[in-house]
Amino acid sequence: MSEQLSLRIDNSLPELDRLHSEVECFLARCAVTGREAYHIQLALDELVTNVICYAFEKEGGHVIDISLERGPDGVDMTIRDEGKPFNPLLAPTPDMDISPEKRRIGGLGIHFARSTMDRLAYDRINGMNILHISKKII
Amino acid sequence: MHIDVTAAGSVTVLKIDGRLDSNTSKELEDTVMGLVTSGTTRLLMDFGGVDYINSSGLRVLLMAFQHLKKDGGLLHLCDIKDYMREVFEISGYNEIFSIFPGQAEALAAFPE
Repeated sequence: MSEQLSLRIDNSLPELDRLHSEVECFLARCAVTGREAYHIQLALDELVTNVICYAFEKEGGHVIDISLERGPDGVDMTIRDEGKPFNPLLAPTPDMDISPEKRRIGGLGIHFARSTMDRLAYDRINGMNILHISKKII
Repeated sequence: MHIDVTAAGSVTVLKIDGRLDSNTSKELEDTVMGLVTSGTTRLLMDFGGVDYINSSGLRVLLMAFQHLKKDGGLLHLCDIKDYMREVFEISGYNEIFSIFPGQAEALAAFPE
């Protein structure tokens, strides 16, 4: 039987600690460790942070549903929220050609998720943002 | 997260322990800004005890770099775990920061 985790958090930044601990336990149960575990924690952290900071008018009082499943080829994740329509995959890639002194601070989170995950897909269904994320693990 | 501030000659050393994330980066930012405002120009951040960093942690590093550089200062980083080095590469930050294996090498690389 495949391992699963379903978690509902409030749209507030302190909830990220709970997300991290629950995902840590889940990944340990699935024997996903080291670099792969860090990639998964980082992608979820960055993408959920975006939902907390941008999907709603203010922090608190809205739910974000997160689910993870360890399948035969890797880990499949879904983030669902009822916030404003927001497709993070349309966010521009940070400009690496700008000199370090002048580079804009921030804007890296989605770039990390794109670079470390094998699949990211966005759907807007019945007033919900649904983000599917997959990480292959051999 | 815990930050230990010590001096090694003219260099201020920040030994960071724990996670550098959205909830803890502010503490590092405040520590760094406090040091820069009070005249620190040579800073070494030791990541030996850091097991997690996200974009908000990297944002603080870039900000520290930009503030120090503006006044002719220097920021060196050391002992970053391999799996975290990768996000420095993905973000292009490996080309911005001077990253060393350990404190000894990082301290020796500050000019006289």
